[in-house]
Amino acid sequence: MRPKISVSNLVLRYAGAAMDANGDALALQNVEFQVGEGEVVALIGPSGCGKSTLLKLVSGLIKPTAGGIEVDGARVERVPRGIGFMFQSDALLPWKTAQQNVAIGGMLAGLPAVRAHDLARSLLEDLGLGQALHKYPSELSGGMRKRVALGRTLAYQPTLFLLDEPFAALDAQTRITVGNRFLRVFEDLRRSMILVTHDIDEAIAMADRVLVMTAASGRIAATFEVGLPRPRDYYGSRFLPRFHELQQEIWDVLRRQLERAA
Amino acid sequence: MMQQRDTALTTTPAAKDAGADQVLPARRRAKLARLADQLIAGIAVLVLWQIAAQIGTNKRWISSPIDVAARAWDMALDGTLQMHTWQTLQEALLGLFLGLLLGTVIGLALGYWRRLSDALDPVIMGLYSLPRVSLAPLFIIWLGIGIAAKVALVVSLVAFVALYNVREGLKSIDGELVDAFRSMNASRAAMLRYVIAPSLVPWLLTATRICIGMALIGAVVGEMIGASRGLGWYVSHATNVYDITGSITALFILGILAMILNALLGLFEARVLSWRKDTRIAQI
Repeated sequence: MRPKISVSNLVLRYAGAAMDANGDALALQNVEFQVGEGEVVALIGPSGCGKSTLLKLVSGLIKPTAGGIEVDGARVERVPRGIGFMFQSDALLPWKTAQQNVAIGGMLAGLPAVRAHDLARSLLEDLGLGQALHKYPSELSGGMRKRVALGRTLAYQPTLFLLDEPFAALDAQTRITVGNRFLRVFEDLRRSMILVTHDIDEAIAMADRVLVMTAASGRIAATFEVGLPRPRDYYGSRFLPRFHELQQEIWDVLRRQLERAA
Repeated sequence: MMQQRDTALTTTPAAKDAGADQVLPARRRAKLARLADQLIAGIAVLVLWQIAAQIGTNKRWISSPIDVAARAWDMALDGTLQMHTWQTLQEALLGLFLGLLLGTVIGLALGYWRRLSDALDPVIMGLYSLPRVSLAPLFIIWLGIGIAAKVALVVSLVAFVALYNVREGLKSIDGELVDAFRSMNASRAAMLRYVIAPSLVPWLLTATRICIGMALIGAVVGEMIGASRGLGWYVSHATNVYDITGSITALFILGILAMILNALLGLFEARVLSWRKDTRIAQI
């Protein structure tokens, strides 16, 4: 079967990154991996390893120096249709209400305004935000804003989700409730996803496969099959024996990378 | 179980209403108190002015609030007050509008064509640093003593403020917002409509606030140099014949005009920026 995403020999150089032997700034070096249809892959690595950059490359927001990325078998030249990109900040329009923010996702996918607003209402209700339809982002808590952002992404009806540390700005408890909310949604949809995170537990709880990146000039250092049954619980999964094994194995690899970086 | 956890995150209607009941009157009371303070301060200044005029022999040089009020009343009765005020207001508002428009369009264009922007940067900075008020005689030579020369002078003052505010506004646009919309394949028009234009609104409102005073300056200076009517013409005409009361009356009306325009802008701002939760200025 054709993979959803195929990354091969990916190289990115740019000013400001660590220098290689030729004196070139190398952000990413010979990255290779694939994401299957419906598969959730977590990317984890020391900060500055280029994992967020990798997401931007996959989404076509920036162009690689060499190598290629294919989504659905087509080389990514510009931003492809059907990418659901979620950022560390919720990236909501502060001057639009929750419902308007979500509706814009639908309109950008080509829905007429009225239908997009109806869709926004039902999505927000499903996400437990029926009371917040007409509130502005500044009137919502961090967890609520994150769910509105998820609503907007869902309204855009993506076939591929790219999540860049989506829960990093949330406190520990909100992270669990929002994380569970995301798990329910994504396990229903069964869409392909790349999740960038610095949190080992989060990577294991969400992903089918965890890729650990090297410290400088990011490459893939190791790959782990998670193999935990679904549906999962964002918090409850961590009491399974397999979870502990993975935590240990991933940490061993990551620690070596962190030591190398230091 | 999920449902239960989540209700804790959403505010219940009852809790919201209880909060609103307490917050709103307090806010309104603070607003009324501030208005009262402003009224008292204004009256205090007028009273001090009147006392200073009364006790000194300098009434001839500084006039007095009562004389100014009497003059304004006379001028209102024979219609000259309205005529001069309307003339100046027309010049200022037309220039303000055209200047903001021109500055915004150029600012957006320079934001779009970066190379043009880099090339023109020194020229624009040079023009901006020029004391543009000194262009007034030139505008009058080029455009005559009618309204056009004054509008042009106002435009030359206002456009740069709009241009630099738009430029700063473009720089300060949240990069993740732009990336979020790019990742959803937003067209250039959609990006302008949803992200860029609304991001610039607070910057344009700030530019407008700064430019209200500038627009009045431009109109008045233009009139002082070459005109047959307007508050600026009145000031220079009165000063030439040592009619201090006449001069101060016209200046007083200009001040009131500026206050009214600022208050109107404040009301507009409160409406347009209602999505902002907290608009208080940081306490230093």
